[in-house]
Amino acid sequence: MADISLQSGHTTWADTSSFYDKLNHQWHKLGLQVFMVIVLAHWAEHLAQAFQVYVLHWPIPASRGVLGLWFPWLVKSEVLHYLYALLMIIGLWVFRRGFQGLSYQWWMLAFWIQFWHHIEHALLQTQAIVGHNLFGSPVPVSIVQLWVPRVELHLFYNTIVFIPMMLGMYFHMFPPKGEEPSRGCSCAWHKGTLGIYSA
Amino acid sequence: MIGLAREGQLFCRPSWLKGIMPSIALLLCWLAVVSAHTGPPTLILVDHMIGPYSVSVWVDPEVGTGTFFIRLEPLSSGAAIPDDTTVQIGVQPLSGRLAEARYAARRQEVSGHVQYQAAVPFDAQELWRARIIVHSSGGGGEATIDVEAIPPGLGQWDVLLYLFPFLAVGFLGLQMVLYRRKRGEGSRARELRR
Repeated sequence: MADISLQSGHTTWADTSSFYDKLNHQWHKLGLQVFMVIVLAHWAEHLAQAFQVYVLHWPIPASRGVLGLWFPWLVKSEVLHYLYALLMIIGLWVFRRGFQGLSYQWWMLAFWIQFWHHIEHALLQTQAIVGHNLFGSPVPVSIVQLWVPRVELHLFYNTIVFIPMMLGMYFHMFPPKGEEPSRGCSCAWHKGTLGIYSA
Repeated sequence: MIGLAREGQLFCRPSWLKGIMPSIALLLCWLAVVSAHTGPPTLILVDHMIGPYSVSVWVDPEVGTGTFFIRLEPLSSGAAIPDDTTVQIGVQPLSGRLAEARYAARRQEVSGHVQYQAAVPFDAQELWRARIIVHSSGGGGEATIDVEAIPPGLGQWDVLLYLFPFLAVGFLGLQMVLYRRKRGEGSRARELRR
């Protein structure tokens, strides 16, 4: 059984009954691990694709990563990319309350960037549906693409979301000096004054 | 429980799920409409005269499949682009290693403009000569432009970029190992002191 000894007045695990509460307390570590596996699986798909093109020298249309070898439509369509973006924003929002201090700030930065990513998606979809593109462009165009014309939005956003997300995770696992580990979850490796869960 | 209950209820309330699921389904329906994955095309020819039309050309010259967008504007205001207008793209490597191949462009109406879109295969990263050929009952002509086909994304740097998340997670794992080792050494030292 988990050993918890929280200071009086703080929420204990026994009090956290809902699924959402558990995800931010006793299941926070497991939840983040699953979330990270999904994130890395997505990057692995892109890595496999790049490996096929630049190391194996496969023709580009045939370089569809791993999933794309069996489900080519999945890679060609926007569904997989958008589902991942949706999953990211849900994960960043759902797990946010398990973070605190510096780690919370980085985590929320990742969340807000991902939020903007969705606004960009909405902007593109709206242009396509209405049939009127912004700035006289022949194709739907996003705001970021005004400054970085040939940027691939998917890659760009996933990179700039991943960096603060990882920093959030790092400071969550190794809180900086003077900062207490998050209450209730077992993610932190530094055992602070709160006597958090030890597995 | 204070402060957690309100948000916790989100996951217990079926009405929330009922509301969110159709919204997600609707979003996914939209996705077939537009691809937001690749960068937008680059304008390479602006208001160039081909026959009776002012022509602008955008291109996304990716190795694999490149895409051309040709926008036609009639010179006299109020005039329309005839329905019988056709646009073809002829492409050939500047090196001459392949014969010119022609591809028909598909007519579209976007933002009140008539434009033609063509998908063109580029099999290698090199300079290509592209001929824009316009035919219509109102007149026709052609223009030639040179285009460099480039690999998608950042080219070979993609491999390094996609490795970066694994390096970051590896760094985190290394920190855990070092911390565990440091803690182990600390506890051994305490035992020895006893």
